[in-house]
Amino acid sequence: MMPFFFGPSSRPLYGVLDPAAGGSRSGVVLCQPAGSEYFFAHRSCRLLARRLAEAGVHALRFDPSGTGDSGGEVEDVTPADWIADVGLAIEELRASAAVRAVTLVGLRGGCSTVLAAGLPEPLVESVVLWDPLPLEEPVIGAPDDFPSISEALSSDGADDPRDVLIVRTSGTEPGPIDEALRVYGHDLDTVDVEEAGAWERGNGIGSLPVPARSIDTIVRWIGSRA
Amino acid sequence: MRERVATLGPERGLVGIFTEAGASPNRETPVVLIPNSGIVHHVGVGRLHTRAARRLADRGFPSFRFDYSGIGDSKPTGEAMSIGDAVLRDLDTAADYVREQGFRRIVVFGLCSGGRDALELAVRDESVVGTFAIDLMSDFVTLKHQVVHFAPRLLRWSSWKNLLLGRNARLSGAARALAGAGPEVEDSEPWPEEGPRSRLERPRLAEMLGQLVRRDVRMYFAFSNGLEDNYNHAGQFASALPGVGSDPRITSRFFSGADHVFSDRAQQSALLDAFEAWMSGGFDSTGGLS
Repeated sequence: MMPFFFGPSSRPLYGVLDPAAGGSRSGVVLCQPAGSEYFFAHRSCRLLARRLAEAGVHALRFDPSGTGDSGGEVEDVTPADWIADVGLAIEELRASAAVRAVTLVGLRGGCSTVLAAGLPEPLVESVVLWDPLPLEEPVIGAPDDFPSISEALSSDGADDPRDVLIVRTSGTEPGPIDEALRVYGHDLDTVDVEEAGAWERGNGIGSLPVPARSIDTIVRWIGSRA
Repeated sequence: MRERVATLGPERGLVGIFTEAGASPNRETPVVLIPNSGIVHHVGVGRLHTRAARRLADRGFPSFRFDYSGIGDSKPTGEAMSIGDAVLRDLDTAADYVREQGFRRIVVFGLCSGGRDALELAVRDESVVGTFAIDLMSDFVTLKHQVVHFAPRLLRWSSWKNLLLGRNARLSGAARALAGAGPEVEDSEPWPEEGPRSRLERPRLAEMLGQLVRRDVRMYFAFSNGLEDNYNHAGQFASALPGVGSDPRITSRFFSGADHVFSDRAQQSALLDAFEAWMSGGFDSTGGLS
């Protein structure tokens, strides 16, 4: 596990890379939720990154501008900044781990980030949406006017189909997102898992749920493509 | 202001962020050490720790926020050790790291279990010249507290119903968590459900305060409404700890309306205003007590 700052010195981004052993050319950028869900999900994101690295996939998780340890305050950040941050994270992963193919994993609000930033990005071959928000719902803790999933799917440059996995835990309602992804031509797998979500408070945050089966599902799906 | 990642301790497994306050720091300036609040990683709830570090840097004070073993981005050690012992070992390691950077004075800032950790480090490490503890878990109940607490309840039917049904007031989930479920032993195992670390008993707290006052350590105790069963009005700290609680080196303040983690942004700002003012008023960022 290698924590570091990257990106512009005017507003550095904090990231943690879990490097895979051997000469893997596959990598994951993990877009975490914002707001209070960020704190509840932190441990699960860390475990997912480690499991991916053990499965031979480099994994980089990072805090977008204005969140966590990254520079700025979210009030001073635009949607374009967050989208650019994902591009910087992909570039950092490519430069530091020499990856040639990237999977973007979004959790909750991070799913909108993944779609808005990743679909126009040629290095991104596949996408995992983990407990996505409903299609039109605004993203918690994001910059003002950050695109919903619906808006991200229909944005310019988002028309190149990808392999997409949706993982839903018990706390996430199935919605029309599946149909919307198919309409845009994406090749979709869906898995419903009976367990609490990574982002949920659980019985107080002293007992953070770790959704082990969801993590297994994501690792297997990405690992099979590496 | 510049921040850098630091890795320290055995196998460089502890992770923290050192926030520098200027290009040519004065080595007499106290460095603010910010440990975890329970299991919340080093960013702090609602970015409390990140924001505290950056505001202090603007005032000339460097800081180091970090994760205990097994929490946040720090590796679990896998050692068989009690949570309390592991926390003390990691605090010592962090204090050593600050000294290795050339600084010799430390102020510790901590919320909930972090406040207890601030005092624990202060009594064992003479580099600590100040502590800022938020919602310290101890026994502060006084007669006035009971009056303030129970008088409105005596008039409510729900209170009588709870009494008849045997329901007791309990810590909220967030407060319980921040009280310090401990670091994980192995990632593959369930998060330990050991419950809160035991709170500081009042005699032990009084003993610690006496020791620190004699050493001329400055202390600030901030309280919210989040632990209402234990603390509910301004001035309660001095009443609960007669003598030492009124020492001029000790400041206490009740943030009425704030919850345990100061989740409201305005309340968080008020807390950080108080911290910044206390630091600037008592410690010269060019070195020494002002």
